[in-house]
Amino acid sequence: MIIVVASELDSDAERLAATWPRREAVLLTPRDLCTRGWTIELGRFNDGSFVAGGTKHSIREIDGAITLFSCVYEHELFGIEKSDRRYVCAELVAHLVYFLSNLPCPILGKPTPECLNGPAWRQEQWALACRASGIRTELATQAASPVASNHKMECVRTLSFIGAECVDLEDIELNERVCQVASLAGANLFQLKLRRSESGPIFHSVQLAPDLTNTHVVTAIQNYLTPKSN
Amino acid sequence: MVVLWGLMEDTPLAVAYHGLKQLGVPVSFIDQRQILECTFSCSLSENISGEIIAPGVRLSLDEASVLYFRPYNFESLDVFSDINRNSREWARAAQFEDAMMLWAETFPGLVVNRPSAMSSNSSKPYQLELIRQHGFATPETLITTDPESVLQFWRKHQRIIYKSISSSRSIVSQLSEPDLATLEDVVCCPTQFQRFIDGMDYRVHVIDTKVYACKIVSPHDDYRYSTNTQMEPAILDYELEQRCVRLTRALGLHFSGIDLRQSINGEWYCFEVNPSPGYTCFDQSGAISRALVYFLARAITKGEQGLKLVDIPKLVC
Repeated sequence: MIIVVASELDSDAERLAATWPRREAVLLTPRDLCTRGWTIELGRFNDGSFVAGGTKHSIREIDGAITLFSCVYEHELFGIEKSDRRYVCAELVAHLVYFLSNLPCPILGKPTPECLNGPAWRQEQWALACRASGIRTELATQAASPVASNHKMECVRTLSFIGAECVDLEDIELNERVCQVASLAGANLFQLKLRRSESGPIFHSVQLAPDLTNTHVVTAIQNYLTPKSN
Repeated sequence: MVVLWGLMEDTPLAVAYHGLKQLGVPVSFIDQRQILECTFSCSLSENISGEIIAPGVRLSLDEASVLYFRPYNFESLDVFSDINRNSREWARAAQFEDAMMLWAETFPGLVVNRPSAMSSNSSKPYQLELIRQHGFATPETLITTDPESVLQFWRKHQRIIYKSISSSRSIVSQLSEPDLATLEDVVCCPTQFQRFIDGMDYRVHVIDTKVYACKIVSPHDDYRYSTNTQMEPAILDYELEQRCVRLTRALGLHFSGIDLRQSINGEWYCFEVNPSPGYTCFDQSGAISRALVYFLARAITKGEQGLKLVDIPKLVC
């Protein structure tokens, strides 16, 4: 079983789970986190149970996972009293950090304690990693955030990094540089957006969530997570 | 220069500020209460460079050698009580906070402690798993949305406690018969239960390689909420001290507050590592304050030779 951890309001995530080959994927949403059936004991993680798609499963059934959100949002906790939502959100995120970090299977969008689907890096940190990896950065100096002004410029190219490489990128040198960025960040799922210049591509921004409207991206995700024995 | 960021009424920060001043170490204090009057401008080269302008402070980021940050959630500060969340002031404050965090994350010198290293504390079971891997005993722990599992866990261990999973503060409490009436509530939110470990509490502060232990005697399950808690300095055996130092380093921290309990069987349990300890309540002799101030100062003077010995002011927490 592949679990797709996402908001239930994310229709792309819902489609990803619904169209997974052999119907192997199931959506795990914040609603599932607030459902009877979760039981995990520290030190006996694999013997535990979890809830996805409204149904209780054994953790041993999980073959792979992809996380498509960085945190749980209060507005999605439909069944929780408004005054309790902030606390419950923090608890759900902390629980997911523990759960996803301990899964003994391939996972795309590896959690960190600060962010459920990757490093909680600011754009400036991504820019520094790009610069260290040989990808040019040209950022204006301005109060507080040099990257903010960069966002106003047009992004002309998006590279999707899935697992261990970029999807459909024939430029081997650029692929290696993006791999180095991924290694510095400890991330395995992100989109690197670039601007064009006469002297080559320039860093624009990074976004952790993949573009699920791109069929090549979806195929790469499925290939990475589908157990090889199948 | 040592840069401090937070509130002067926060005793750990105040002790550091006055102690560094007494040592003659250049120190710059950025008051979080004056955040609306602060600006942070920066550019990217190999690292972040730029400057901070705050009331009474004009600081080039390149001048800093050490950062000791203990910011509070600015939203909870009294100066923000009348400021609209959608206002320009609010956005400006949030942007300044974010820039300070970015600086702390990318600063090439000593940071006590880097925000990403502190984050393991935001998920207690996540951190507990790391603690377990470093050779400490950890209490049997259940995370569940299933009331029946709680009952089984309770029957098995007889005495169990419950507490928050996240860093949201919660009062650690023993599960008792009256709690059964609300046990069904766990369905709405995964809840953490642990076997109650009978024994003696110790709070251990690690500053770099130095270890300061304090024995805590309290009649309450959660000594933080007890009015008659007693504390006294304690000596741990060398191997246990070194385990605390290794754990602190493994979490990427320079300064930590570790919650230990020695069970009645003599086994050492570790519950939590606090990455931004408000240590002053445990520092009756002033030894922790002194060690922290000298640790921060040493990074400036490249050793203790240039440092005079002074009395670090004792502040009541």
